[in-house]
Amino acid sequence: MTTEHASSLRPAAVLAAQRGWWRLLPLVALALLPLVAPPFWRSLTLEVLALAIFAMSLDVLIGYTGLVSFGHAAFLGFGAYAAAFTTERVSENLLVVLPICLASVALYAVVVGFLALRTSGISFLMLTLAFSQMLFGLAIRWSRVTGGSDGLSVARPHIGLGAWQVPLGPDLDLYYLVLAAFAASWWLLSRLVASPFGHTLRGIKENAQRMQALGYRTRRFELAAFVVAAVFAGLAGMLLAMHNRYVSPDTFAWTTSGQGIIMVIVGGAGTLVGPILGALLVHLLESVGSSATESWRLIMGVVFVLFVLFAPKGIIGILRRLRRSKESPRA
Amino acid sequence: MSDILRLEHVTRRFGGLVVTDDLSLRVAVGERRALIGPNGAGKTTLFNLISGVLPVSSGQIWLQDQNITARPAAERAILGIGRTFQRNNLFAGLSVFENVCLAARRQQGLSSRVFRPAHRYAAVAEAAQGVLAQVGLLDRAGSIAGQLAYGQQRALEIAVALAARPRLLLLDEPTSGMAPAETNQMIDLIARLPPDLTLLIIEHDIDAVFRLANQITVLSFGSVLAEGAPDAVRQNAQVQEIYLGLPLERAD
Repeated sequence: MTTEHASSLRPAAVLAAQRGWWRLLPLVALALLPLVAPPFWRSLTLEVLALAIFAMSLDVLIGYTGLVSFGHAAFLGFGAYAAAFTTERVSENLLVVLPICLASVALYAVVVGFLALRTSGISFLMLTLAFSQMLFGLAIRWSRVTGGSDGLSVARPHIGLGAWQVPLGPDLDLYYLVLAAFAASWWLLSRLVASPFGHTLRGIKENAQRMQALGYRTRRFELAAFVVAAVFAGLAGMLLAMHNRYVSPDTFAWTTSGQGIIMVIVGGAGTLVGPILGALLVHLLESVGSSATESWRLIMGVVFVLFVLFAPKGIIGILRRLRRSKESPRA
Repeated sequence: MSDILRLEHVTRRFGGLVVTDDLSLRVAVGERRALIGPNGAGKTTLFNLISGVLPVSSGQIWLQDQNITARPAAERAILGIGRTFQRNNLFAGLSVFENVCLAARRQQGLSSRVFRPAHRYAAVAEAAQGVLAQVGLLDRAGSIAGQLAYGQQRALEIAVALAARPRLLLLDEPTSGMAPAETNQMIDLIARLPPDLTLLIIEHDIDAVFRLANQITVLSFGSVLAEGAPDAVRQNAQVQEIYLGLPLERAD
């Protein structure tokens, strides 16, 4: 099948949620893309894929559990710094780096989640923001370990099993690593939100009090969702750090968390696939827009406001409305 | 007969206001106990204390031989206390089917499974369908709960509680806000519930009380004013005084 076909079928694949193999078309297109696209676009696509993992993970919190975290960048940055520390001090083998990164993010998320989830609503939002600002401060101040505002360099890892070693040096290898991580995240998170656990999260979002009256210990489920979301954000952070070969305190900045929220809302919260589209839109605006005009942030702000006002269910909401009106005009 | 629920000297204060005042109560297994009393008598507060939404200020609550005074609401639900709410308290954005599935899934211990799609658990779907059939909502299974007619939402409120298979069910004004015909349907529905399920019912509709209850507790200012079989309570002079000295009729 040609790429032309693939792109025209993409919205259909997105909407035919349950028909499994349609979903593979975008992945096939993404796998073929670096063979035809120049390095700039390949690098941009890689970043979109990593940010899409980040946005999907945030959607588990915002769209499914109803927890609006304004500090999700903490886990993106934590994963990135964990990658820097591990590749420098422990090993450059991905099979070592990956579990260390994910496990340390999970551990940190248990602590943050345990404290932040004692509150809800605005207090939860402020606490998550405070925790990410704390890491931001730590990354700048504790320069002996974190390199301060200069950041740290990150080595490209290899995959090694005994004598068998595959270097991931060239950008193309890393692209396929990120693509594989994206596909795995998408698949795992799709399973998760469709599972009983995912339905439990939706119940909590709808009516936590009634869930308790039915015997759900809601805070445990919220904590589990928080840790899962953090681990996937940490994965995205690790991949971005390996791609950039560098981490800086800016990863922790509240603007990164804010962009995550914009990706989720603009794409369509509670849909998983929406935040992927949100990540695409926001990152395109940022990288293409910032080279074209100084005021790209203004444009992004306007786009966000327009979505909140006129399409609060995001891109996916618009697509669903279009499909409905095609099926039954004036419904 | 063994008691399923025992309250011993339960007091609940809100600041200086004593809403539940040294109240003791025993409910036997399989009883249909109505709680009546004027507004402000502390009936819903009592439900909140029993179900664990509110902690007691002092006193003890026992579920059979377990002291549940300090247990959180979720644990009490797991131990078998179910409740409905005076105002519909559903998962308004989810389907009718999913509303009962959430309860059934928890009851079957499946709610934290992470991999298989939720709809593939046949036992959950079966339980949910059973409960929806029981309350007459099977044909609305696919509707969004928040879009049901008010009376149907009241029925779903009970279905959700039933799907968690409680031993003790607290019904907070099941017929409130209903038209007479709907009220009759609701009373029939409650009357058909299995006899081993103990019911504690707050109800203002006195006809409903006398049709459903085999024991009545009259509350006034947070304590028990009278208690006994319906006929005995009906004859009680003090009770008649509270209901304005008239033969018992619809109070509001």
